[in-house]
Amino acid sequence: MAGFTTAFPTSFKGELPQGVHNFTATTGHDFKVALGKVSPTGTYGAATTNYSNLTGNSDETSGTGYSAGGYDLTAAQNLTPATSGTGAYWQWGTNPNWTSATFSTVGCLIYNSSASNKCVYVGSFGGTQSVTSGTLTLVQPANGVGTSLLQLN
Amino acid sequence: MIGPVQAGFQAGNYRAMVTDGGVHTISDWANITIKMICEPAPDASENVLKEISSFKMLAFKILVYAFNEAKSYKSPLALKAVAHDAAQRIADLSEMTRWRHLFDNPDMRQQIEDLISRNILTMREIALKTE
Repeated sequence: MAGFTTAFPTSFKGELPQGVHNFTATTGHDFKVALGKVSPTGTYGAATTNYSNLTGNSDETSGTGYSAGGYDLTAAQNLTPATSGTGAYWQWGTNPNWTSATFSTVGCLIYNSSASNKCVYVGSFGGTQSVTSGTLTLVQPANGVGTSLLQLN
Repeated sequence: MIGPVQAGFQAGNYRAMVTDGGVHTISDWANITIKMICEPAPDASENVLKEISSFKMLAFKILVYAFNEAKSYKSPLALKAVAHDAAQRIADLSEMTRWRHLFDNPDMRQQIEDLISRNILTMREIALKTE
């Protein structure tokens, strides 16, 4: 079924042991957060592999205040993966945001713009989020076991 | 019999915060931050929900104060100090509650401080983009 489901992409699981992605703070890779439009034609979740999945289906959000490609999470914003007990967790040091914005969205992809736009996260917002001449911020959860955007437990 | 090992790859969720006609208010920031700190279990009893509600109201005031204070600072170090202070006050608030043991955990305290700090920095980023 078309739409977004929050997931840790399967392709990303395979890329981790190959050292494709570097999430180290400051010296690691740059990532981006792209938003998906309402009523997408594609299905985004564990099987999503690349930002091109979104653009290939013309499913990226458009509107005032949103530029194609999405919000930059530069390497300076990476939080180096941390461990606790038998798990590891990581995310970023800032919340993606769009100002003076007028558009709607239902989900997002985070992809590695330093590694051929490979997808590392798919998120659903649980419904349509619409903003009119205002501000949309994606607020990250607490960075820890059981909550972070990305976890290996 | 030993079953297969579960890989345990997990993805958390963003919370979308939307404000039409401008930027998020201090109350918006305080509200979403406290929701992320105190999320009651789906099966929480009525008494527990009442206690959480009281705790959230007091913590909300601490966060409103912190986000307001942060508006007058620019240096990242000063902003982090504001977040540290707010996290400490929220932990102090938990002293008389059944959740005290959670706030006594240094990892938990750090997560709360980082959450407040990240939200303060984002509020600053948005202000710089829209001023």
